[in-house]
Amino acid sequence: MELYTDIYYIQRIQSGDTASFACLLDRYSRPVHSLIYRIVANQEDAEELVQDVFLKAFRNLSGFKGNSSFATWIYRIAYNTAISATRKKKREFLTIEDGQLDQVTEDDLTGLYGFNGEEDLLGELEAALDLLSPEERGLILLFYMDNKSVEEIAGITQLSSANVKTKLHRIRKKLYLLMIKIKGE
Amino acid sequence: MSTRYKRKDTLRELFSRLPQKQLSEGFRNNMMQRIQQEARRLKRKDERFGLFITVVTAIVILVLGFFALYCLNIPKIEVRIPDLSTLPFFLYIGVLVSFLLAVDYLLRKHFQKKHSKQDS
Repeated sequence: MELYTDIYYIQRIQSGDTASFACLLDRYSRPVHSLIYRIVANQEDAEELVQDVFLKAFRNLSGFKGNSSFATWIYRIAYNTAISATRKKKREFLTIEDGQLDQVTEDDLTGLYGFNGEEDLLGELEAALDLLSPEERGLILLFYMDNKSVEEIAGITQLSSANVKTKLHRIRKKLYLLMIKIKGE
Repeated sequence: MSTRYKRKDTLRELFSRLPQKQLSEGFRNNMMQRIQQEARRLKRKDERFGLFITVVTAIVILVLGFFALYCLNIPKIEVRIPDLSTLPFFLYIGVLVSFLLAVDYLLRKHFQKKHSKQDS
């Protein structure tokens, strides 16, 4: 049960009660860490980046006007921080041609469970996630792991809702193709 | 789109089963220590900024004052130095009054001491 809203804690911090930041930390450190860890794929880097995210949030809290929710705001910082960190480590990601993606249907996606055991499927999903670009990974994780709506993701990534929808659609198909490819290897 | 995905998306179920990595045990304490340090640093920064603004404002006021007084002659102020020929007389009166007050104080003290001994 959540006793107080984020705004309540933010107002307390803005009026000088630094200890109230612990409440926001308790609420958001785990999901933010999960997102960053999945994007950067390194536990030590992820923890350091989570610290950076919360420090940035604390530094800029005085300028938080509440135009978006605190959750969207902190996720935006986390997403941008994680993506920036991955850009520093240059790595090439697998590209799949549009023609291949277009061949994947919704039925293919819903039938994922049909072709393997659950443990194998999870392993394939993790391996497929690793082959996505950080931006793609971030988007799909926000949608599936953090249960964010398309509008919320648009707020976090500063993309239009239509763009997010299109990207999510393509990433799902790409994931499917990657999982099939991994299964075949 | 989002509602349709939520209704029949098997990927959502798969994602919910992905193993979660935990933050290290001391993360919360370390983070709060860094936050407290940052709060102190921001406070010092604010204080320095406040001091800087005060100094700049004071300098601006002084420069404007100087400019108004000596360059524009606004307002015209004449400072008159009083006649100091009677100063020695007033100093003499001041010293005399102080001496008499001191004598009065000592005599009163002596008188009170003497009477308190007699009473006991």
